[in-house]
Amino acid sequence: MDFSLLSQALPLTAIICLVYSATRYELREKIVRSALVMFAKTIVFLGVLYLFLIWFSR
Amino acid sequence: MTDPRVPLKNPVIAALLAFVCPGAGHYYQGRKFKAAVFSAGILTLFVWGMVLGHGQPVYSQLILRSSSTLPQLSQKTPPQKFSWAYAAQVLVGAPAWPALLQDFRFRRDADTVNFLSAPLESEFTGRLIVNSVRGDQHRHITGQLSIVPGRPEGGRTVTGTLTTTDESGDPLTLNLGGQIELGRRVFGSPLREFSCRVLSEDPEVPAGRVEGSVERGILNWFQAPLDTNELDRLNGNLSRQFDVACVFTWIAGLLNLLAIWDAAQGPAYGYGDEQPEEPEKKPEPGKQPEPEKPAAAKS
Repeated sequence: MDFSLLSQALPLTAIICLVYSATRYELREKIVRSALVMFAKTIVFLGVLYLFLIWFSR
Repeated sequence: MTDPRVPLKNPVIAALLAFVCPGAGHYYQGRKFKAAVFSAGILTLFVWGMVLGHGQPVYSQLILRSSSTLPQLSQKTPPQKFSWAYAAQVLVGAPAWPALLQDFRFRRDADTVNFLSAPLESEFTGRLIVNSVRGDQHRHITGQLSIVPGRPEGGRTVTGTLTTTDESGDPLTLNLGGQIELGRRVFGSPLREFSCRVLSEDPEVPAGRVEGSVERGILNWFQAPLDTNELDRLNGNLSRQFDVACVFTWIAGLLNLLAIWDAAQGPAYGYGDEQPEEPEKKPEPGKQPEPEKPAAAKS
């Protein structure tokens, strides 16, 4: 696994989720909660996609 | 419709401020948490991209170039095209605006090719080409260049020295003179192409040329138009890191577009404390829905 790319992808995803959620809602708690849920969903989706591609490239 | 609890103030001013600097529009509206999120998130992403790309992912014009001969872009109006990546980057606002100024300076600056207007002292990196009866000999050298124009008002001929070391590591001073080849003053690369003849006053140092590059000041290369050769050099040196840097700056600009929209129109999904609507009850299969009872007549 390329950890240098991971160290860039994780903060990038976090920033995108937080800024995107901040443009959807006004309440601080709702923004943070929505960003956390979106971050978790994105990471799980990308992780599954990554494993899927590794499995296919074997 | 925007929730009345969201203080939009003057939405046009807020949107303009959000465009100038991420978060500024929300700060003007008093939405300080959002201002902090937008300015920290978007500016961090943009600056991070600039650092990863060694300050060169943002440029408004790409010059099309096929040959790699000296000097850089001697044509006054070289063929160029608008960089569509800049359409996303410019949305970040003021941090990406220097590219427009540099494009203006680049177009105005064609006369600086092969022209030295003031004494130049700089690090030199390149090669020494020595003419000999057995053919030209090339050697990589680095050193300190010091040249002055032949005339006080500047010109294409110079005199000066290049202090370097010979193959055994001993100090070596090359006398330079004659016409120079010098890249544009304003161009999107920290390296400015340079070439000059080596004079043969000293019989120990055979005549030849030095070809390479000198330093270009940051104000003359930051966000300035660059060419396809410089892009090749960046991709060769930084590889995938340069692509990641470009993507970071694009995403920063696109995220600020959402922030500008939020400053003008408010949050897209509402305030955030709305209760979800209850789904309508569907009738069970086989059962007729009960007819609504008529309201009892008031006696």
